[in-house]
Amino acid sequence: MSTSPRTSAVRRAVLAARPVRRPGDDRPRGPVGTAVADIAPVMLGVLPLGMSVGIAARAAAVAPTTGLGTALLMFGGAANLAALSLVGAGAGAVAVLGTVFVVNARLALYGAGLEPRFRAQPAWFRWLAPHLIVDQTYALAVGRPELGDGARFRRWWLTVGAVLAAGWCAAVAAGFALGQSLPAGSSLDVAAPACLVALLVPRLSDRPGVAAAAVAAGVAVAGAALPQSVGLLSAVVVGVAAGTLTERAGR
Amino acid sequence: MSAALVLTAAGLVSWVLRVLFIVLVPAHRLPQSAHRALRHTGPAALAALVATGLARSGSGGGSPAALLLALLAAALVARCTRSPLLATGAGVGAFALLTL
Repeated sequence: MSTSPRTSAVRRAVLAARPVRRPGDDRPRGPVGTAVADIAPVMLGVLPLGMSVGIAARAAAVAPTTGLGTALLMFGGAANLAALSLVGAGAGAVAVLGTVFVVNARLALYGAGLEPRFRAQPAWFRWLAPHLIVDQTYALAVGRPELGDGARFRRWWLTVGAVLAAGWCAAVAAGFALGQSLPAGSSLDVAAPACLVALLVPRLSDRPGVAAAAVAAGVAVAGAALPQSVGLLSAVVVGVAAGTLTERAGR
Repeated sequence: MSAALVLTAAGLVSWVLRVLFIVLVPAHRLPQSAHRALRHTGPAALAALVATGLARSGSGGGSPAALLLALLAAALVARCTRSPLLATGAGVGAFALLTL
Protein backbone atom coordinates (compact mmCIF):
# COMPACT_ATOMS: atom_id res chain seq x y z
CA MET A 1 0.00 0.00 0.00
CA SER A 2 1.43 3.39 -1.00
CA THR A 3 1.16 6.64 0.95
CA SER A 4 0.85 10.03 -0.69
CA PRO A 5 3.49 12.69 0.16
CA ARG A 6 0.74 14.84 1.70
CA THR A 7 -0.42 11.98 3.98
CA SER A 8 3.19 11.28 5.01
CA ALA A 9 3.73 14.94 5.89
CA VAL A 10 0.57 15.00 8.01
CA ARG A 11 1.58 11.74 9.71
CA ARG A 12 5.07 13.11 10.45
CA ALA A 13 3.54 16.29 11.90
CA VAL A 14 1.18 14.30 14.13
CA LEU A 15 4.01 12.08 15.32
CA ALA A 16 6.22 15.10 16.00
CA ALA A 17 3.48 16.80 18.05
CA ARG A 18 2.79 13.70 20.16
CA PRO A 19 4.66 13.68 23.51
CA VAL A 20 7.37 11.04 23.36
CA ARG A 21 7.52 8.68 26.32
CA ARG A 22 10.63 6.60 26.31
CA PRO A 23 10.53 3.40 28.39
CA GLY A 24 11.05 4.46 31.99
CA ASP A 25 10.45 8.15 31.33
CA ASP A 26 8.28 9.50 34.16
CA ARG A 27 8.32 13.17 33.25
CA PRO A 28 4.76 13.46 31.95
CA ARG A 29 3.43 12.02 35.21
CA GLY A 30 5.88 13.00 37.94
CA PRO A 31 7.20 10.61 40.59
CA VAL A 32 3.90 10.16 42.47
CA GLY A 33 1.85 9.39 39.35
CA THR A 34 4.60 7.14 38.04
CA ALA A 35 4.66 5.27 41.35
CA VAL A 36 0.91 4.66 41.28
CA ALA A 37 1.10 3.46 37.67
CA ASP A 38 4.04 1.18 38.55
CA ILE A 39 2.53 -0.41 41.65
CA ALA A 40 -1.05 -0.85 40.37
CA PRO A 41 -0.45 -4.03 38.35
CA VAL A 42 1.71 -5.44 41.14
CA MET A 43 -1.24 -5.18 43.57
CA LEU A 44 -3.10 -7.79 41.53
CA GLY A 45 -0.49 -10.32 42.60
CA VAL A 46 -0.03 -9.03 46.14
CA LEU A 47 -3.68 -9.09 47.26
CA PRO A 48 -4.20 -12.90 47.15
CA LEU A 49 -0.97 -13.34 49.13
CA GLY A 50 -2.14 -10.80 51.73
CA MET A 51 -5.42 -12.67 52.10
CA SER A 52 -3.47 -15.90 52.63
CA VAL A 53 -1.54 -14.20 55.46
CA GLY A 54 -4.85 -13.11 57.05
CA ILE A 55 -6.21 -16.65 56.82
CA ALA A 56 -2.97 -18.02 58.33
CA ALA A 57 -3.16 -15.48 61.17
CA ARG A 58 -6.69 -16.61 61.98
CA ALA A 59 -5.60 -20.25 61.84
CA ALA A 60 -2.70 -19.50 64.23
CA ALA A 61 -5.26 -18.07 66.68
CA VAL A 62 -3.52 -14.70 67.05
CA ALA A 63 -5.58 -11.60 67.85
CA PRO A 64 -6.72 -9.51 64.85
CA THR A 65 -4.59 -6.55 65.99
CA THR A 66 -1.54 -8.81 66.33
CA GLY A 67 -2.12 -10.37 62.92
CA LEU A 68 -2.51 -7.01 61.21
CA GLY A 69 0.26 -5.32 63.21
CA THR A 70 2.81 -8.02 62.49
CA ALA A 71 1.78 -8.10 58.82
CA LEU A 72 2.83 -4.45 58.68
CA LEU A 73 5.94 -5.04 60.83
CA MET A 74 7.20 -7.96 58.74
CA PHE A 75 5.86 -6.62 55.44
CA GLY A 76 6.62 -9.79 53.51
CA GLY A 77 4.33 -12.65 52.55
CA ALA A 78 6.65 -15.66 52.64
CA ALA A 79 8.28 -14.88 56.00
CA ASN A 80 4.96 -13.90 57.55
CA LEU A 81 3.26 -17.11 56.43
CA ALA A 82 6.19 -19.20 57.70
CA ALA A 83 6.22 -17.39 61.06
CA LEU A 84 2.46 -17.73 61.53
CA SER A 85 2.44 -21.42 60.67
CA LEU A 86 5.28 -22.04 63.16
CA VAL A 87 3.56 -19.99 65.88
CA GLY A 88 0.32 -21.88 65.18
CA ALA A 89 2.21 -25.18 65.54
CA GLY A 90 3.63 -24.06 68.89
CA ALA A 91 7.26 -23.66 67.73
CA GLY A 92 9.72 -21.77 69.97
CA ALA A 93 10.97 -18.22 69.45
CA VAL A 94 14.40 -19.34 68.17
CA ALA A 95 12.83 -21.51 65.44
CA VAL A 96 10.51 -18.71 64.34
CA LEU A 97 13.23 -16.03 64.28
CA GLY A 98 15.73 -18.35 62.56
CA THR A 99 13.19 -19.19 59.88
CA VAL A 100 12.32 -15.53 59.29
CA PHE A 101 16.05 -14.72 59.04
CA VAL A 102 16.62 -17.37 56.36
CA VAL A 103 13.45 -16.55 54.39
CA ASN A 104 14.18 -12.81 54.42
CA ALA A 105 17.97 -12.96 53.96
CA ARG A 106 17.57 -11.97 50.30
CA LEU A 107 16.19 -8.61 51.48
CA ALA A 108 19.73 -7.77 52.68
CA LEU A 109 20.95 -8.33 49.11
CA TYR A 110 18.15 -6.11 47.79
CA GLY A 111 19.17 -3.45 50.32
CA ALA A 112 22.76 -3.61 49.10
CA GLY A 113 21.56 -3.21 45.52
CA LEU A 114 19.44 -0.16 46.42
CA GLU A 115 22.01 1.47 48.74
CA PRO A 116 23.17 4.05 46.14
CA ARG A 117 19.58 5.35 45.93
CA PHE A 118 19.42 5.76 49.73
CA ARG A 119 22.97 7.09 50.33
CA ALA A 120 22.23 10.81 49.86
CA GLN A 121 18.78 10.71 51.47
CA PRO A 122 17.89 12.20 54.89
CA ALA A 123 18.63 10.01 57.90
CA TRP A 124 14.95 9.30 58.66
CA PHE A 125 14.50 7.96 55.14
CA ARG A 126 17.63 5.79 55.29
CA TRP A 127 16.51 4.22 58.59
CA LEU A 128 12.77 3.84 57.96
CA ALA A 129 12.15 3.59 54.22
CA PRO A 130 14.10 0.32 53.70
CA HIS A 131 11.20 -1.28 55.56
CA LEU A 132 9.35 -1.11 52.24
CA ILE A 133 11.90 -3.34 50.48
CA VAL A 134 10.19 -6.45 49.11
CA ASP A 135 10.66 -8.44 45.90
CA GLN A 136 8.29 -6.23 43.93
CA THR A 137 9.49 -2.80 45.16
CA TYR A 138 13.12 -3.82 44.57
CA ALA A 139 12.38 -4.90 41.00
CA LEU A 140 10.36 -1.74 40.31
CA ALA A 141 13.10 0.53 41.73
CA VAL A 142 15.81 -1.16 39.67
CA GLY A 143 13.65 -0.51 36.61
CA ARG A 144 13.49 3.23 37.37
CA PRO A 145 17.12 4.43 37.29
CA GLU A 146 16.05 7.81 35.89
CA LEU A 147 14.54 8.76 39.27
CA GLY A 148 18.06 9.20 40.61
CA ASP A 149 18.85 9.28 44.31
CA GLY A 150 17.19 12.50 45.50
CA ALA A 151 13.72 13.84 46.27
CA ARG A 152 12.14 12.34 43.14
CA PHE A 153 13.17 8.85 44.15
CA ARG A 154 12.06 9.55 47.71
CA ARG A 155 8.54 10.59 46.63
CA TRP A 156 8.30 7.66 44.21
CA TRP A 157 9.47 5.13 46.84
CA LEU A 158 7.15 6.42 49.58
CA THR A 159 4.15 6.43 47.22
CA VAL A 160 4.87 2.90 46.02
CA GLY A 161 5.27 1.79 49.65
CA ALA A 162 2.14 3.58 50.88
CA VAL A 163 -0.08 2.07 48.16
CA LEU A 164 1.45 -1.36 48.74
CA ALA A 165 1.07 -1.12 52.54
CA ALA A 166 -2.56 0.05 52.27
CA GLY A 167 -3.45 -2.78 49.88
CA TRP A 168 -1.50 -5.29 51.98
CA CYS A 169 -3.33 -4.31 55.20
CA ALA A 170 -6.70 -4.42 53.47
CA ALA A 171 -5.96 -7.87 52.03
CA VAL A 172 -4.71 -9.27 55.38
CA ALA A 173 -7.77 -7.85 57.16
CA ALA A 174 -10.08 -9.34 54.51
CA GLY A 175 -8.36 -12.73 54.80
CA PHE A 176 -8.69 -12.60 58.59
CA ALA A 177 -12.37 -11.61 58.43
CA LEU A 178 -13.43 -14.06 55.74
CA GLY A 179 -11.16 -16.87 56.92
CA GLN A 180 -11.92 -20.31 55.64
CA SER A 181 -15.01 -19.19 53.71
CA LEU A 182 -12.73 -18.11 50.87
CA PRO A 183 -12.33 -20.68 48.07
CA ALA A 184 -8.91 -22.34 48.07
CA GLY A 185 -7.01 -21.94 44.83
CA SER A 186 -8.21 -19.64 42.07
CA SER A 187 -6.88 -18.08 38.89
CA LEU A 188 -5.88 -15.03 40.93
CA ASP A 189 -3.25 -17.17 42.70
CA VAL A 190 -1.36 -17.07 39.40
CA ALA A 191 -1.23 -13.27 39.52
CA ALA A 192 1.76 -13.18 41.90
CA PRO A 193 4.13 -15.41 39.83
CA ALA A 194 2.84 -13.84 36.58
CA CYS A 195 3.69 -10.39 37.93
CA LEU A 196 7.18 -11.61 38.93
CA VAL A 197 7.64 -12.94 35.38
CA ALA A 198 6.58 -9.54 34.03
CA LEU A 199 9.21 -7.86 36.21
CA LEU A 200 11.86 -10.44 35.28
CA VAL A 201 11.56 -10.47 31.48
CA PRO A 202 12.83 -6.88 30.86
CA ARG A 203 15.93 -7.70 32.95
CA LEU A 204 16.99 -10.51 30.62
CA SER A 205 18.68 -8.09 28.26
CA ASP A 206 22.27 -9.35 28.48
CA ARG A 207 24.10 -12.66 28.85
CA PRO A 208 25.07 -12.25 32.54
CA GLY A 209 21.45 -11.47 33.43
CA VAL A 210 20.17 -14.49 31.51
CA ALA A 211 22.83 -16.72 33.10
CA ALA A 212 21.97 -15.46 36.60
CA ALA A 213 18.25 -16.09 36.03
CA ALA A 214 18.67 -19.50 34.38
CA VAL A 215 21.06 -20.88 37.00
CA ALA A 216 18.99 -19.45 39.88
CA ALA A 217 15.83 -21.03 38.44
CA GLY A 218 17.58 -24.40 38.09
CA VAL A 219 18.93 -24.35 41.64
CA ALA A 220 15.52 -23.22 42.97
CA VAL A 221 13.79 -26.18 41.32
CA ALA A 222 16.46 -28.58 42.60
CA GLY A 223 16.18 -27.15 46.12
CA ALA A 224 12.41 -26.71 46.27
CA ALA A 225 12.13 -29.60 48.69
CA LEU A 226 14.58 -28.00 51.14
CA PRO A 227 13.03 -26.54 54.28
CA GLN A 228 11.95 -22.94 54.74
CA SER A 229 13.33 -21.19 51.70
CA VAL A 230 16.92 -22.43 52.14
CA GLY A 231 16.64 -23.51 48.51
CA LEU A 232 15.46 -20.04 47.48
CA LEU A 233 18.35 -18.28 49.20
CA SER A 234 20.87 -20.77 47.75
CA ALA A 235 19.37 -20.21 44.29
CA VAL A 236 19.81 -16.44 44.54
CA VAL A 237 23.43 -16.72 45.74
CA VAL A 238 24.41 -19.30 43.07
CA GLY A 239 22.55 -17.30 40.38
CA VAL A 240 24.42 -14.12 41.31
CA ALA A 241 27.71 -16.06 41.14
CA ALA A 242 26.78 -17.42 37.69
CA GLY A 243 25.97 -13.91 36.44
CA THR A 244 29.29 -12.60 37.76
CA LEU A 245 31.29 -15.42 36.16
CA THR A 246 29.52 -14.91 32.81
CA GLU A 247 30.27 -11.20 32.97
CA ARG A 248 33.95 -11.91 33.68
CA ALA A 249 34.14 -14.45 30.84
CA GLY A 250 32.70 -11.90 28.42
CA ARG A 251 35.36 -9.25 29.13
CA MET B 1 7.33 -15.63 75.06
CA SER B 2 3.86 -14.74 73.71
CA ALA B 3 2.95 -15.07 70.03
CA ALA B 4 2.69 -11.28 69.72
CA LEU B 5 6.22 -10.78 71.10
CA VAL B 6 7.71 -13.49 68.85
CA LEU B 7 6.04 -12.00 65.76
CA THR B 8 7.17 -8.49 66.74
CA ALA B 9 10.74 -9.78 67.11
CA ALA B 10 10.39 -11.41 63.68
CA GLY B 11 9.43 -7.99 62.30
CA LEU B 12 12.57 -6.50 63.86
CA VAL B 13 14.73 -9.25 62.30
CA SER B 14 13.22 -8.39 58.90
CA TRP B 15 13.90 -4.68 59.39
CA VAL B 16 17.54 -5.28 60.44
CA LEU B 17 18.09 -7.35 57.27
CA ARG B 18 16.63 -4.51 55.17
CA VAL B 19 18.81 -1.76 56.67
CA LEU B 20 21.93 -3.96 57.01
CA PHE B 21 23.66 -2.89 53.78
CA ILE B 22 22.03 0.55 53.64
CA VAL B 23 22.79 2.00 57.09
CA LEU B 24 24.65 -0.49 59.29
CA VAL B 25 27.32 -1.63 56.78
CA PRO B 26 26.72 0.61 53.72
CA ALA B 27 27.18 -1.34 50.51
CA HIS B 28 29.55 1.27 49.02
CA ARG B 29 32.11 0.14 51.59
CA LEU B 30 31.98 -3.37 50.17
CA PRO B 31 34.64 -4.36 47.61
CA GLN B 32 34.07 -3.49 43.93
CA SER B 33 33.63 -7.15 43.05
CA ALA B 34 30.67 -7.34 45.45
CA HIS B 35 29.11 -4.31 43.72
CA ARG B 36 29.37 -5.97 40.33
CA ALA B 37 27.85 -9.17 41.70
CA LEU B 38 24.91 -7.31 43.25
CA ARG B 39 23.77 -6.17 39.81
CA HIS B 40 22.67 -9.76 39.17
CA THR B 41 20.54 -10.03 42.31
CA GLY B 42 17.36 -8.89 40.52
CA PRO B 43 17.20 -11.49 37.72
CA ALA B 44 18.48 -14.25 40.03
CA ALA B 45 15.95 -13.54 42.79
CA LEU B 46 12.96 -13.08 40.47
CA ALA B 47 13.77 -16.25 38.51
CA ALA B 48 14.29 -18.21 41.74
CA LEU B 49 10.94 -17.02 43.15
CA VAL B 50 9.09 -18.00 39.96
CA ALA B 51 10.84 -21.37 39.71
CA THR B 52 10.17 -22.18 43.37
CA GLY B 53 6.48 -21.40 42.88
CA LEU B 54 6.40 -23.63 39.81
CA ALA B 55 8.20 -26.49 41.51
CA ARG B 56 5.85 -26.40 44.50
CA SER B 57 2.65 -25.95 42.53
CA GLY B 58 2.18 -29.71 42.13
CA SER B 59 2.36 -30.41 45.86
CA GLY B 60 -0.43 -27.91 46.57
CA GLY B 61 -2.89 -29.76 44.38
CA GLY B 62 -2.51 -27.29 41.52
CA SER B 63 -1.72 -27.97 37.90
CA PRO B 64 2.00 -27.39 37.17
CA ALA B 65 1.50 -27.70 33.38
CA ALA B 66 -1.28 -25.08 33.36
CA LEU B 67 0.80 -22.79 35.58
CA LEU B 68 3.86 -23.19 33.32
CA LEU B 69 1.83 -22.38 30.21
CA ALA B 70 0.19 -19.39 31.95
CA LEU B 71 3.60 -18.03 32.98
CA LEU B 72 4.92 -18.53 29.43
CA ALA B 73 1.96 -16.49 28.18
CA ALA B 74 2.80 -13.79 30.75
CA ALA B 75 6.46 -13.82 29.64
CA LEU B 76 5.49 -13.50 25.98
CA VAL B 77 3.18 -10.55 26.66
CA ALA B 78 5.81 -8.94 28.92
CA ARG B 79 8.41 -9.28 26.14
CA CYS B 80 6.10 -7.76 23.52
CA THR B 81 4.46 -5.01 25.58
CA ARG B 82 6.78 -4.39 28.58
CA SER B 83 3.56 -3.87 30.54
CA PRO B 84 3.34 -5.70 33.90
CA LEU B 85 -0.44 -5.16 33.96
CA LEU B 86 -1.02 -6.76 30.55
CA ALA B 87 1.45 -9.56 31.31
CA THR B 88 -0.17 -10.35 34.68
CA GLY B 89 -3.62 -10.26 33.10
CA ALA B 90 -2.45 -12.58 30.32
CA GLY B 91 -1.09 -15.06 32.88
CA VAL B 92 -4.28 -15.04 34.94
CA GLY B 93 -6.47 -15.28 31.85
CA ALA B 94 -4.45 -18.14 30.35
CA PHE B 95 -4.58 -20.07 33.63
CA ALA B 96 -8.35 -19.56 33.88
CA LEU B 97 -8.81 -20.86 30.34
CA LEU B 98 -6.51 -23.84 30.86
CA THR B 99 -8.20 -24.95 34.09
CA LEU B 100 -11.83 -24.49 32.98
